Amino acid sequence: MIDHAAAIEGCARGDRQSLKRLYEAEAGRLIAVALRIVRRRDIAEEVVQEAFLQIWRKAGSYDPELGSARGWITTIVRNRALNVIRDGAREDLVDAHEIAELGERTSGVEDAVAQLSTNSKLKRCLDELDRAKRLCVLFSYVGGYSHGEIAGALGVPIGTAKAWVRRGLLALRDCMG
Amino acid sequence: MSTDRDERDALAGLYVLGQLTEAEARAFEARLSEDQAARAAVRTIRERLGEIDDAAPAEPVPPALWERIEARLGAAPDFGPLPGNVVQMGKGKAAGLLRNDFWRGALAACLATVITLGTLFSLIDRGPPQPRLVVVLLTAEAEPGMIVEALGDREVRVVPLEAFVIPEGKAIELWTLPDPATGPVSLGLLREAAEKRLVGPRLPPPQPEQLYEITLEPATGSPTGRPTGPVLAKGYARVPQI
Repeated sequence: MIDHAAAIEGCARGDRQSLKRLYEAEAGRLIAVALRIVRRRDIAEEVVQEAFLQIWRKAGSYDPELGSARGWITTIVRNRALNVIRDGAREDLVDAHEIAELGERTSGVEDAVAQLSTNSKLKRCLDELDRAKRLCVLFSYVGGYSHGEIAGALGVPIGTAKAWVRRGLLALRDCMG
Repeated sequence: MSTDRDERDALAGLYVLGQLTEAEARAFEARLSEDQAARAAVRTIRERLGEIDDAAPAEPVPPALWERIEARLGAAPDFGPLPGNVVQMGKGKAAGLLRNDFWRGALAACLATVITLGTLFSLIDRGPPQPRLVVVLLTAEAEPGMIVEALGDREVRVVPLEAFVIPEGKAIELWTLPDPATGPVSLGLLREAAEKRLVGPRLPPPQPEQLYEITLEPATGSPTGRPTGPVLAKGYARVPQI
């Protein structure tokens, strides 16, 4: 495991080797994170490419008080992936979301949870949520679904989906303590 | 019963999930700058849910990806937000008007270089006329998308710096804002991303700091005579130091 914070500091000083170290350690995982959201490999790779350029340019603004260095990098990738599916690229990508059967979509996000270690508190708390709320949180976080898409996937009104996402978040917080 | 803490944590959670509208997210970010508890809530949720991302098994990484990144490291530094609403371009091939990574990489040189380059084109290309003003239009990513050279009161020369792919039935329309009272004025249409001279309507001589922008419009130009499509790039006129 590399020292992410030190590598980001290196980027802020203009050291390309630092960026390369981050890239070598994280690119594969970040493509996976983006792929869960954008669902197309070429787009996921482009998201990660642009994210690394952003990391390079914004390294000086990273503030350790706001979270871990690794989390900061992941957030940049997540936000770029969400932007891609929320704007113009939507038409093509919505189809990808819609043609997948609910079962397939469900297993996609549940797989992400299955990767968590068996003693993970997050995993235990997610398992304790009722299925609808768990799926709402996971569709949102893992798949980048909008409230409307969650409503569509679960066959409920959008207001219900919103309420479930919110309740799922708070139940998760209470469980995590 | 919903408490203030629930409200705050739910908002923080929705923010992390990307479920807030643009306006809600901006409002929450404004709150974050002064609300330490809200900042802590965001950090906590990010760290907790981030465990899912941290555990994601790595996907194969194409060998060319690093080269594409490295080719652009010298690219434009962060200029901060551009004025107004410049649409994000070249995100994803599905959306992309920008397709050619090679050109994106090779041509995304820094602003100063581009201005020099633009000037150079004029010098070696056809000799005079020298541009009175040069505008580098920046994309939403703060990368140079097009050079516009004002050759006279009416004539401009445009040089795309991105391989804009113009969809069927569409064109890129160049606009300038001589003054706010006149509003935006069309200088002409580009149906392909190639160097072109355009002759616009008779206008007062262009001034330094005058705004230029390109938008995507129907092939015959904006139906209203004002920009209607997304802004692809924009910039302000500068006097070239020839």
